[in-house]
Amino acid sequence: MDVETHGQVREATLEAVIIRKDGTREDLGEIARYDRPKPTLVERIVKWLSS
Amino acid sequence: MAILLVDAGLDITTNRVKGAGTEPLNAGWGTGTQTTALRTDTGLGPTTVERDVDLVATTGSRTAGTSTRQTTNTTNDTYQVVATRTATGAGAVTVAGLFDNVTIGSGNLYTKADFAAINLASGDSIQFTWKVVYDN
Repeated sequence: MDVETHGQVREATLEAVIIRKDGTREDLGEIARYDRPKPTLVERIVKWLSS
Repeated sequence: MAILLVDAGLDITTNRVKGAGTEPLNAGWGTGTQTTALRTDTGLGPTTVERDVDLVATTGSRTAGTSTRQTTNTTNDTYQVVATRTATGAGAVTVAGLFDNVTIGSGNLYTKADFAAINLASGDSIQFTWKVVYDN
């Protein structure tokens, strides 16, 4: 699923390991991730022009 | 699949910087179909889908995790919580989050994540590791 874009933190991740009742471990690795979007070229130009 | 620090998580963060509030290290999970996560979300799922360890009850307790500070890009820029939650019933977990209160239905949501269903049988556990990076 998509996430609403915003830049509160640089990144966030959730990793998971399933531990079955018999002790077997299943490492699912990273199951969810957020990365702060980088400014678009237009946004960078606007910022540069306004500085 | 997405994870995000919700607006209430910002509230918790600034409150903690002031030395107030309660640490959001309590892990909850939920079941059912998820929708797009929004920063304004205050609970898990599009509606009330948070479940107790039996994956059915909507009341009960979350699991207190262990928090540490870690280094991802800059020294101690990452808040990490590791929590292992064991199912006492069968079901598919589709969402998880961290709260500042151990009781389901209470407290404030700090971060939430939706993901592909993880099918559990009774006695199975999930060890979650959350990492929130406060870098520039």
